[in-house]
Amino acid sequence: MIPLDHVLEIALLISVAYLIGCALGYGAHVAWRTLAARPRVVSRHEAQSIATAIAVSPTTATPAGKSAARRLATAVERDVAEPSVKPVPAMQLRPPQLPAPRHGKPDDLRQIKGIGAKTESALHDLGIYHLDQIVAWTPSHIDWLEGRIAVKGRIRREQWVEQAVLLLTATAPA
Amino acid sequence: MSDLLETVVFLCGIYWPYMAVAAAIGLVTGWLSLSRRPGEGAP
Repeated sequence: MIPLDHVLEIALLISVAYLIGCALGYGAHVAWRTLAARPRVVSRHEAQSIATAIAVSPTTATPAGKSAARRLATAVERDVAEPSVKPVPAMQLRPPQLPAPRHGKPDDLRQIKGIGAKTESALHDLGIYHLDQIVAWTPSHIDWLEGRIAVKGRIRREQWVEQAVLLLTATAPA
Repeated sequence: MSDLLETVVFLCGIYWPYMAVAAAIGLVTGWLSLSRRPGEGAP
């Protein structure tokens, strides 16, 4: 007779094995779908030559074949003109943040044209207190910030990073 | 703690085929859970 505590442990082990299998199966399926969904890159020239070849191929010379080939050629030409694959959004990264301003005193970010009191406060909330932090922003950081504190395109249009570089250069000791 | 570990290792050594079957069933279930089309299986 198997002891009761062993029965419970066996049931637990089998359940754990089942759950691990579920997670692995789900993960494998997600990975497989991601790989399968990757768009195949076909050059414009290649796509047009394929379409033309299908349209004039003697194997599709029957009326139905011709019609199907023409439809396919039209579809390919339309797809080449207006690609159906949407561009992947750029990667967004949160810029490095500080828990508090260094030496307890933040820089005056309002020196940058385009940053007002409200935006400065929002930047402080995100842990950005100094001009050198703004200088270190990359395009990924700007993309991340634009969705949160500014109207899309404002940081680039108003050249906050360039302004911060100029301000830092002007205030740096010679 | 070591007693529990020893018991688990002992049980795994004996009952691993059952665990393997459970893992295989879980694998299939996990895979198929994503294959269902929207609306399929709904009452």
